[in-house]
Amino acid sequence: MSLAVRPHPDPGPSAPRGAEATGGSAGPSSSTPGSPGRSPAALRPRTSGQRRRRRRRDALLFGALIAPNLIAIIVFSYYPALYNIGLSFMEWDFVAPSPEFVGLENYLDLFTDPSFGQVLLNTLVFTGVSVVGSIVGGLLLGSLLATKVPLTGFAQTMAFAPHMLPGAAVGILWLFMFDPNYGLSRWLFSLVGASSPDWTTTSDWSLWAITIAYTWQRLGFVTVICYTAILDLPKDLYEAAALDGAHGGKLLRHLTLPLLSPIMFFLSITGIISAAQAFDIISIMTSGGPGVSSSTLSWMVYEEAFQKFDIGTASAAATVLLLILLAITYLQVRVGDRKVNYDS
Amino acid sequence: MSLTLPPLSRRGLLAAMGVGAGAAGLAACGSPLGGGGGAESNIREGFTQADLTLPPEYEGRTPILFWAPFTAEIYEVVTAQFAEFNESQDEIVAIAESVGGYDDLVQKFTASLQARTVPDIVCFPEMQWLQFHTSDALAPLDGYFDDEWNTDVYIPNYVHEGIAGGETFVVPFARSTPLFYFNKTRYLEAGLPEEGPSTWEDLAEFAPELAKIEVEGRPLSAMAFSPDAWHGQADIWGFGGANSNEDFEVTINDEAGLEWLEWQRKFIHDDGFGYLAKDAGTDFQSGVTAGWRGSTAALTGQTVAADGKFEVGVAYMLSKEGEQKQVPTGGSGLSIVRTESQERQDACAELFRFLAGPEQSAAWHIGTGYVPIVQAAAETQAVQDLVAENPNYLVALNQLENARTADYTNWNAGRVTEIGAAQGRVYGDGTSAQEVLDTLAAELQEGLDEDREAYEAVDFQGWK
Repeated sequence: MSLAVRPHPDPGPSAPRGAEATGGSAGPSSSTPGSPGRSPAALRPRTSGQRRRRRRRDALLFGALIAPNLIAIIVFSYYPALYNIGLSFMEWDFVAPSPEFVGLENYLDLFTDPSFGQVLLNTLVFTGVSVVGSIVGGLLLGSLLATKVPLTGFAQTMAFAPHMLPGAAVGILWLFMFDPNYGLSRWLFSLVGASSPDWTTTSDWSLWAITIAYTWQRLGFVTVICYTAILDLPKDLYEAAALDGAHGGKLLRHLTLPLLSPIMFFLSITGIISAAQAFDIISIMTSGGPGVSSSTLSWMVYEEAFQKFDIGTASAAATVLLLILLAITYLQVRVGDRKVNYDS
Repeated sequence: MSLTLPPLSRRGLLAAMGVGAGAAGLAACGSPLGGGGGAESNIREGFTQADLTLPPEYEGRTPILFWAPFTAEIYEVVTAQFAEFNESQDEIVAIAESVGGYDDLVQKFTASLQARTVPDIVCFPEMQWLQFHTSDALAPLDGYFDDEWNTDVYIPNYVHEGIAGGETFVVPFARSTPLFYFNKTRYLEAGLPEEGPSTWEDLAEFAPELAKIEVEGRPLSAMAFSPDAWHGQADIWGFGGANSNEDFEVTINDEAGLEWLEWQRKFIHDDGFGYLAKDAGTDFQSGVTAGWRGSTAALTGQTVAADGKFEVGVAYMLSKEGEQKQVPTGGSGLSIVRTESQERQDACAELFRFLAGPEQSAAWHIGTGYVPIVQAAAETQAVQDLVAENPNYLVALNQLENARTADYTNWNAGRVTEIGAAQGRVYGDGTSAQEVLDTLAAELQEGLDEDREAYEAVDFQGWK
């Protein structure tokens, strides 16, 4: 907000009130044309009047420019979020003429349902493994890509490709690879004389199947971010560090990682949010099953709302997801303020 | 067009703003089937027609819009039948728009009711049309019936599932039953009967023979299972049990239910003759499994897809030896949406009358595999020829004698999902039937207790 007024500082309390009123209300016609010997004091109302007009014009312009965005955010983000919170206190099936108020019943049901605990745990594992996995993998791949070797450009494109694929395509791709009858998995396991696990149809493996596929998809994006960040690292610091005898792990721990911390911070926040919202890969690969073994919060919201038509439970689960993400983001920002090094 | 705010949104908004008590006061009874009473008139002021694209050659006719829950080949057949209808007269133009599947139609139709711009025709399974009926969205059809077109022209199994409170709101259209599909070529190769299995005991006997055939280095599976409550309903009936009884008591974990699911668990996990498939139909096509269960509506698609690779065989849904075979009805029927226009509603009835013609019903059956819902369709030359050429269609048709309305447990989308998930745990993880069904039964009973009053109030003919 302050950006809009910065070029035109407030005239402050020194501006005479009476003059302000005159200039403000009379407009341009108030100054008598050709009146001789105008004192600086007489000039002031006009100048401040112009300033105010300009300020008002700028404010209007600012308002006009920001309004479409603001309206879109209110209509498509804040209103649905608030409406969703409202629905979480209702019982409704989408079809009945109106929802019925049930207070906290949906939340009580949710927290007393043993499968909800399983869903929360699944979400934690899915999010944690995919965020850590993609950052570690992306950092490694990014470092590799940053070393100039033949075909680097090709390798970069290949690394980024998974990110450009739609989740549904990634899901189908991995569904084929994981297929114990004719997939790549069967061949890989047969190399060591074992048979492939039933990745998507047994509870032991289903969560790992979607986690692996999702991490693979996310890896491309993380790699490109890490790669560009590594290219931007200040070379002089590395030369100085090399002169001081730092190399290998020490260099990574004491120089590279601190320098990359803003990027890591960005990747972890966006990673957690997008993993917690992942849907398409789950839908294609396991539909949350068998049972609830690969159901995450975002899948559960969909299933409750659009398969079971239990809007209240879905909204309550969505509200829980929102609160968890808000809390995590808040914590990350708090920690980030202290730990992240923006001085590079 | 004027912008009208639906009352639901205002109430919902108030509710969202925390005016909880007021919202509770405004709210209807909150039953699973909604809170509406009977519609006093088929006219509903303010409910206008949703946008449609009218081909220029049909300008000036009364346009009616069908949101079709069909895609691919099935939607193509709908489109062809509508084109035929449009050519058959010069007053009405019927437009079919594909909206995806039933779930998509529920979402889109619900939104359209709130926006008050609706299609003229929808096509829902029972568990969904009853919801819309109780929220007064559908118009009764009885006033349109005459000597030529009435419920008697349809196969009786499906007619009563369109009646509530003594009025008909749905005429049968895309109706189906589940079928057992098997790879006849593989059966013959293994020296097994070409009519396939009739009982679960047959399948258990055939399975080791099929397993002797290697497909891509692995024994051929006798059956790929899907976690599907529709199949489960046929299965538990075939073991002499039921999901619930007439007194709204859940019986899914009684002896017969346990025997059913434990039998299948053993077949999959102890004997290794079957498996839980991600997509059983695809596995069947690719030859990995020699059997799966699917809708009769998949018959044409499966036959075409297998052409040149292997011969598809179908059999009745399996039962335990000595038990009566029964299958749940499936699919959907046509309804008229209550709108402001009597003229358009009358036009919809004309379309329904047309689609109930024996030739049209026969073409629909042949093009899709859905049952020939009009009794006279089975007598048409086209259907006779088809049956002579491919007896599978006769099996599908004959199985209708075993078709009946599903148990109360299967009339709510949430409970259907829960039953399917329970099957998935047994098929996929090999969890014991007792453990899974005991948990499931408690969940189902809770739901039925909540819904009993509403179910009884709706006076649904299908349960009588």
